Amino acid sequence: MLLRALCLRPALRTPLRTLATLFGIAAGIAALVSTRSASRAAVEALRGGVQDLAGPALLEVSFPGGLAFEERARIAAAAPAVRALPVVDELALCPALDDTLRLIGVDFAAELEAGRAALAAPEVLRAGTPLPTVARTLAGEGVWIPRALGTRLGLAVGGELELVLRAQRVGLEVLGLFDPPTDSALFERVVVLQAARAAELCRRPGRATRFELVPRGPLDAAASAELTGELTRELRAALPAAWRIAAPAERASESAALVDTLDFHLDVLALVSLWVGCVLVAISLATSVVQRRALLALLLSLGASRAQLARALAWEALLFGLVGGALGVGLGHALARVSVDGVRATTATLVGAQPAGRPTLSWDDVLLGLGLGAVTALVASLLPILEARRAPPLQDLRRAHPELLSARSRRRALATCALLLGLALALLQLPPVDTYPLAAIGAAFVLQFALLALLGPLFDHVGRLALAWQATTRAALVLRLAVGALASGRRRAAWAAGAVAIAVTLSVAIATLVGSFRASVDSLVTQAFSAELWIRPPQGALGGPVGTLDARVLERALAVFGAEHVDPYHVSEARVGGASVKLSGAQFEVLRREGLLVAADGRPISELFERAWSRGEALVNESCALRFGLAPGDRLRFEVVGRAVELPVAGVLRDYGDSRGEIIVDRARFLEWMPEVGPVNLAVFLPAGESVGAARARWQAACEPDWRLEVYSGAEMRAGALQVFDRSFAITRGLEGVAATIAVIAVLTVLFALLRERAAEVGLLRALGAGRAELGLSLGLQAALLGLVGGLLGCLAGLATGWILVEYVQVQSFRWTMDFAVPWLGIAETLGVLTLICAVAGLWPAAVAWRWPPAALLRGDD
Amino acid sequence: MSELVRLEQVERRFTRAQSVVRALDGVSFSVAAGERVALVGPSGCGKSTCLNLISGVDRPDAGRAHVLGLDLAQARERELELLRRRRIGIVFQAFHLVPHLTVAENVALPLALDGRADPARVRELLERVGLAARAEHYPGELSGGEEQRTAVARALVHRPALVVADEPTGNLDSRSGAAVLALLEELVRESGATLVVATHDARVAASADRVLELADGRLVAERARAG
Repeated sequence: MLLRALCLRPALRTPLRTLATLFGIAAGIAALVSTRSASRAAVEALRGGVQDLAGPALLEVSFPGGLAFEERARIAAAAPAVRALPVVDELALCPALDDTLRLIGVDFAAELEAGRAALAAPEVLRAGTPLPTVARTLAGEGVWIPRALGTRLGLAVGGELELVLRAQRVGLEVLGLFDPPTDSALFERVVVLQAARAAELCRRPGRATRFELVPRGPLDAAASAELTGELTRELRAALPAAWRIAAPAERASESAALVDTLDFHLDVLALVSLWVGCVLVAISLATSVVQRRALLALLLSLGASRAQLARALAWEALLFGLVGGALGVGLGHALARVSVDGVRATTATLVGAQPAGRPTLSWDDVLLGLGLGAVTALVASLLPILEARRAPPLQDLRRAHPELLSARSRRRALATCALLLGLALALLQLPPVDTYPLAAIGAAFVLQFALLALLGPLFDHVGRLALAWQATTRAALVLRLAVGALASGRRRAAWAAGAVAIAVTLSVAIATLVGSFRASVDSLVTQAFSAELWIRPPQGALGGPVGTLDARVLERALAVFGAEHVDPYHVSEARVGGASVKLSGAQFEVLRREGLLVAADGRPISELFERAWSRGEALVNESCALRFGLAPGDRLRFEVVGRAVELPVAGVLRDYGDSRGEIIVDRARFLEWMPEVGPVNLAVFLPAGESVGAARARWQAACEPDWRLEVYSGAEMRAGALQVFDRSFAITRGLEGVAATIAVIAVLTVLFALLRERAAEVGLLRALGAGRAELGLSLGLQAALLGLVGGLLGCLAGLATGWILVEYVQVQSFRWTMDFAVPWLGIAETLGVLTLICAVAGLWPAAVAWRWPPAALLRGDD
Repeated sequence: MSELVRLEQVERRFTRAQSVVRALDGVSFSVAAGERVALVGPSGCGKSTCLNLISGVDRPDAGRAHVLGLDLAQARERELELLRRRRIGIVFQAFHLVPHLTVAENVALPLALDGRADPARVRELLERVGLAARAEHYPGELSGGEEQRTAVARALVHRPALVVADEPTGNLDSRSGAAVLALLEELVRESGATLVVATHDARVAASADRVLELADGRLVAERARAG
């Protein structure tokens, strides 16, 4: 009865407020669910792709650049308990999709014999398949694709599938369409053909990417584990140390770990949105308590206890939380479908372009959304419960008059603020937990509470200023009425300004982080892409490397431009202390003259490359140096293709490319270890006097007709890098929009509440002859003041939070430093636009107030 | 004497849930300049509705209402605003002072709304109502009688031609009520304004030049003061 009378009926009578409250929760939950769902889709695509292909395979044997098909016999001899199945696995660009497809080459007969059904073998070799088709498939004269992909590309049997592989255009006849055994996302983008033909297309004739070892019969989990251990020992003893022997799942684990780090940061941003939503909910519920003061007072007079009222309000909050959470889960799932490409674009820069996963809604998401919604609303309900505890019994209800804070209260608020600032500084001194900067993120949140502690004294100060001048002219009266109304409703005004401040903090912090990141990227790419011409394989719409360049392309480039002007860049993997890092090879001889990238300690970059080239040393990037505690002159120990290597560190380079860490060695040394790994791009330093246009024309004339390459000038590469950056951070724009919306809703909620409290006053002013202008100005001023005060505080807190994000969170998470750049123009714009929007928004309650008949207001009618 | 107020067959209806309440049902009367008129009758008879019409805060649904030369049914909102701002002073039963303005600022409010300032006039009125020492206090710090005296001063600060008072003593004890009433009448007489008062108070009715009795939204009797 109490819940119905106090909460449910008032909620139905104020639908806008109810919707605003639900929106606050739903928006935050939606942000969290959508980012988690989209990230999970990306990770599952990584993991699922591996597992779906591998099927029952226990281990895989591989080597950078591939293993000859003939090695199958050697492996089989070392591990007779399993079948060794060759697999060619390469990403190709599909121009029709402007996206990647996965080219998989298999031995169909061996696949069928091993019982692996994933890759079309049963369909290729079933009785109903026409013999010519079978023969042509086994001869590698065409491909099989999933039926869904065929539909998407408009391809039927006999159609031609165009791909770009190793920078060459190939047209492949579709010999068959198959239905995959599962609905894994992998099978939306896979092309299957005979292994030998695949190897030829990938410019590695006779070489498989890996051999997958499949048991000869079904095994339970325990038997699989035992066999896996046995096989690993046998194979390590029998095969070259350089060959990698690992479970298939390990291949995806490290890439997934990178995505997990990104996932963590997206989760933090989403949680911040939820926090902003929580503030809105708190304000909405608290102002509704203000509007129900008379009802609360009556219930107290009739004998209700404050505990009963508090419980009813908590139940109200819980209901809002559950309904808002449910709405947020649904909205989040819908948003995930939109944001999945954004997340994919970001992960492509980390782990290369991968097939898209489909975002799915799991029970975990539903429970998380409902749970967080409930918790958020309950936390938010503390404010209205506190407000309700202040409600006097009916007999003592008096109109408010300006209450100024006592000196003691002011001192207490300032002391609280100072204490919280101290706590934030202390948290910043703590190290990250693994790579998760939990303490630094905690410091950012503590900073927000410090800001909130200042709001009471701030509005108290505003009130004191307002009381100091006499309202004897119309302009002064309007201002006085506006400021006086805020000072009288100091608590409510502080709530609204607090919501605005937190929303602005979020916006400014993100703008500062993104602005600093962008400024750093801009500075880095200006020097990193100092070569005049760049040649690389074509990339899809989402960016990220798609394969390597064919050896003929490199030979042609050396012939056209001269070896002294070309820097081929190769990429593979090494291990430092068991952890995976990027290993790259570059032409130090060229770079010692031309220079590329930026030294972390400010030394001329050519000096570092000269030292590394002349002494046979290695260079590391900042992430590697921070991750492993390396400095110039230290000795770096790492493992590559099974062999232990130790090299001195010639210097540390600044870049943002790979937070795992990168070791750069001279290309000659790289190719000693991995001769079959082609370059991912060529940087061409043109001779003095040659224009980019002329060089590009020379190159185009020298290219084969079926080559498909991207050729960019340095300026185009720099612009492209910034475009990728902007696309990756597009999701933050959405969060800023959410924050701004919540700020305006908070201001409107409080203004409407203040307006209802002051209905009689509005009636009086109307009765005394106040016009629309006076009402509109007064309410607009109130709204603008709320926006301005909240905005100013938010800017301060936002800059401080942004500094924490740049100097601590970023370094601890991704292990590279960026320059702290304050987006002054953006901040001024945010403040100006927000104040204006709030002022304009204030006209809405003014318009509502204008429609109220003054006589009714004076009577006290609702 | 010229007529300041003339109501002819005025009707005012309010809709409550599904029913229509006739707050005024064909009321006709006039008030001459300088008169003191009392509207009496039981609760709900239409006194306050009548005053709201006269003060331009409300409009009639039917009939004609002229106040200070303005046809209330036809007047634009701006004209009504200016009428209330410059030519009418209102005293409410519930005082209706602005809680976050001082006593002096509350009194000066009508002038400030009209873009004028007259500190001397404000001081003069505060002295007349005995609140000069409380000029910088807030309404929440005043007694009921003091609040109503402030409201009286506010109603007269801009020298209105017509003062409308709705149960000015309704929220006061008899002693405070008598004091406020005496003050109101004295100040109105001095200013030469016309006074229309809605009241239950027999003393108020007794001091009026004319008493109009309302019942169920109709004018049922009219009495002039003897002598």
